[in-house]
Amino acid sequence: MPTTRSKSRRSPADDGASEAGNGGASSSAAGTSGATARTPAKRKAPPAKAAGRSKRAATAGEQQQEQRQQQQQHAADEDRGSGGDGVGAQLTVEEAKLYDRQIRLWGMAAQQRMRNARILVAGCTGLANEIVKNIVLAGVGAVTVQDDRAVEARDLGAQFFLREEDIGKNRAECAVPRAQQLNPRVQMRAETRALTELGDDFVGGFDLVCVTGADPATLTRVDEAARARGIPFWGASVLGTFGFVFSDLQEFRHAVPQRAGEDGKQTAGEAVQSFSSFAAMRAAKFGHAKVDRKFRRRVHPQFFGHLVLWAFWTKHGRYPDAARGEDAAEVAAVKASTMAAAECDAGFLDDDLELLKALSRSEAAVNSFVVYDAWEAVAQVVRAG
Amino acid sequence: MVGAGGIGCELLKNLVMSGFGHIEVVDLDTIDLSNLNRQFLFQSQHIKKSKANVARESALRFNPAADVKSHHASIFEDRFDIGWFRSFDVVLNALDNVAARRHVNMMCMAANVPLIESGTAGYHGQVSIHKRGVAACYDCFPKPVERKTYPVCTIRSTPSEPIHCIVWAKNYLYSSLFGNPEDDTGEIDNAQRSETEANEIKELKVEAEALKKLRENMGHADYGKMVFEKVFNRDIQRLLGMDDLWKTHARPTPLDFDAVRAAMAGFVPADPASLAFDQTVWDLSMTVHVFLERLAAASAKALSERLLEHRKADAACALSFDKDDEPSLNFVTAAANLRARCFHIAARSRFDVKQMAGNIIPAIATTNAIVAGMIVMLAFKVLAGAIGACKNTFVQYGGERTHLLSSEPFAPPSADCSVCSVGSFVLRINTATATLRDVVDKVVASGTFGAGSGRDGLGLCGEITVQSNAGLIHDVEFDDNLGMRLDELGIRHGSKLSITNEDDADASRNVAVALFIEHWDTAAGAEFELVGDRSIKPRPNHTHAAAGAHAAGAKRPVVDDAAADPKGKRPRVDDGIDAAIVLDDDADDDVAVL
Repeated sequence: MPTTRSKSRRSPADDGASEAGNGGASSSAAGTSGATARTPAKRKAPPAKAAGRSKRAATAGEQQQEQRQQQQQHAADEDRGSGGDGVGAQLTVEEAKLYDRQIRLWGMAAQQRMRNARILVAGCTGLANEIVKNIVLAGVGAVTVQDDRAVEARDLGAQFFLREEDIGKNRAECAVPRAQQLNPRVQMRAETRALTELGDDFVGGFDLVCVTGADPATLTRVDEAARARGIPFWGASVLGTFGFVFSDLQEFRHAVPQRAGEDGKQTAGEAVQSFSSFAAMRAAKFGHAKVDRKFRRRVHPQFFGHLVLWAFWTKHGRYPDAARGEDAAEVAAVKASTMAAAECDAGFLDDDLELLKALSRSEAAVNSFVVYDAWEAVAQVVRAG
Repeated sequence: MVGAGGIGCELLKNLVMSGFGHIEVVDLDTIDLSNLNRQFLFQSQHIKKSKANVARESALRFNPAADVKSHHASIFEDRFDIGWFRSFDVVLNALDNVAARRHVNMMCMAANVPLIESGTAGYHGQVSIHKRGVAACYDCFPKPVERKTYPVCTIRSTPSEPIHCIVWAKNYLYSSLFGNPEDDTGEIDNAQRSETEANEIKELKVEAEALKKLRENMGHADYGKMVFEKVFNRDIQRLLGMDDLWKTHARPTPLDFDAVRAAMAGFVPADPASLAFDQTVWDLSMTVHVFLERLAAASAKALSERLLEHRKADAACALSFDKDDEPSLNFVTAAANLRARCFHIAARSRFDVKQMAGNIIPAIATTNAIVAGMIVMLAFKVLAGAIGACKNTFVQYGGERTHLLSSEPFAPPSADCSVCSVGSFVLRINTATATLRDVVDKVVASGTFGAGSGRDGLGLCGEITVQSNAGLIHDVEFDDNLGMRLDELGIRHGSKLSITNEDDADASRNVAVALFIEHWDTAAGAEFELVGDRSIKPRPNHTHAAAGAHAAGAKRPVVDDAAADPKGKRPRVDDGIDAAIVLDDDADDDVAVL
């Protein structure tokens, strides 16, 4: 029997489909995608609009367009009231044509904010190549790629911005000009000094900070520096077929999708999400909660796998190495103490010891933590801290 | 890899970086500015060039050692035959339309090559695995119709939403004034839904005829005014006379041309190249101005003038709506909003109208990147012989979801799927010398069922039915075509024949078989070779396999459907009563026989 699930999904990207995706989802996603540059001084509640429309339920596509009109109105109100810091140049007609397909998803206001955003991508890794590609295509204002390391042969397998002739040269300096070709409108810069050399004030020059392939000490330090300056922070790594994304947006105010009230009137609104710091998330306690299926849906065991790896790194300054026999026992010990500190049944992680071995073989390398397992096609958000 | 667009660019990057040995890319499209926000293998200097070719060039820079071939061609072409599909270990679809997906699916199932399907729209996406005999094919289960249609009365008499006005402007007014109204009416469903509608539909026909007649005034100085007064005044007046309609709907208000023009005194049109012109809803003056401009005499901006110009060369020429043609889009926007005004419906900006009229699907790089990654993971599993580890996965993003990916195991194939649960063979034969009789007698009927070499027939007993792309060409009652050569019947390299047999003596050997024709130039007479697996499962039911019959498929452009055709007849339906034949094909002179 066919599973009914496949019927309830939209067939994506078929010609003739007139809808533009899930109206409700895209609106809030535009808010939580983090593409909005946070400018607390300018933020205002969007005007609540009473709908004066026909009673007929609008299609999802029409709902989405109405939301975009609301957002545009909101942005227009914002820009008028801001006084401005001079950065907010209007999108040109040519840009509107180039970004047409994405403007239709997240709206003109979001596109405008992206255009004014300055983003730091620290660590020029394979993952960073993907991130830079995506944000440069999207048309952000400026991107700085930071890395003090030189290109090695094995980088060519993961970083499509690098070429064989780059071996030995600085990664960021080699990647930036090629990334620039994807969109000449984005101001791109390479930073070749190490983060430790740049100091905490460095992040203050950006609207968003993203660190890839970093050890837990670096993640902690940069997150704290960003927090102290009210700047949204992402830390992410890919380890073989596993990965994680950590996001710290502190207190994040975002628009709430339109919902029709009982009287048929539609109300706009705002909501605030609270994010933990990286350190707080690592220190999260689960109060010896019962490890049942419900728990597993809430917290994927891979989350603890990462905690254990970080704990090992904190203790030894490196990740576990499968070639070193003594590491196996040490991993077990670190696992025991980590799970105890987290107040979680150590058995929860037993199934995934294989995961730890696989992770350790790799070279280093939501609210608020997404664990990713490519083989199992799992991408699950874990809230901790 | 079929398709080198949004998913294709990300996927090709993954393939060459991951070390896939030999890659072929097929795409018929050329690069457009609106592609560049996500199809990152293309830059502005590549606009109008072939997607397949440029994608290959760009991707090779990532890994010069990769072996990549590109084909700027349609996947429907004859050269992409079963043999070509068989040369691959896995086929990856990166398409944006159902017709191509169905075709590739059919070829992959026939060639017994695993197929990985995918699609994205906005923040959503999915991947799925399809393999003959293992995982349900793309056509195993009917899919919802993808093109939404509206009842004719909603569009022509009682609109209530902006989309109704837009469909009216595009599928009725635009095609009446500039196109061929007899053509496919697109989103308008002309089927009568009730008795009460019958009257209204008659009136609408009269209205449409009058508009057609009005078209003869194209080029006249007052043409715009004439059209305006007809569709926004007189037609609305007529509707107002139909009291029944207005019991449940708000009464429309006709527009007075002279009053509207008077109110436009001192009007200065906005810059049509500005962002505001595209993004902001036009006021009444602007709307009327744009509408009239498209119908003005001796004006470069007028669609009527364009049509008159084209007709100098070809009297039968017609314009068809293209969302990227600004005058056409402007006209439809203006007309839709004027109609909306009559019916007290909110007007829409040109930006919004373009999306609704042009069926634009919003698209971003990231969803495509995610899906392309998932495709490669599935490809790894397939090539590693671990198809059992494959799952069909959906990308879902937005709101407070905790699971950004959700997966389900693939379903087994449907036993009566006419695409993947039929016997499949390549029939090598000389289409210029072999006849249909040769196929029926030698290829199909002779030989031993389930056994034999390539030169032996299939051994199907009983009554044989043969369908080609054109329709039914042979059955027990219809043997007129037996003496004709295959090429005379339109059967050539790349054609597909659907064969069924009905043997009362042994139902376990009643099968359905697909024969993919490979023209064998050097074969003599009726010489043939059959390539394929001869162990064929019996048909689960006793109706002849109607070609690709799916209830929901009515509106899809199906390549291999047995559509009604002057040469062919409808397939026979066996309801268990002896030899009942029902014919209701208007084009056929035959009499119904029971």
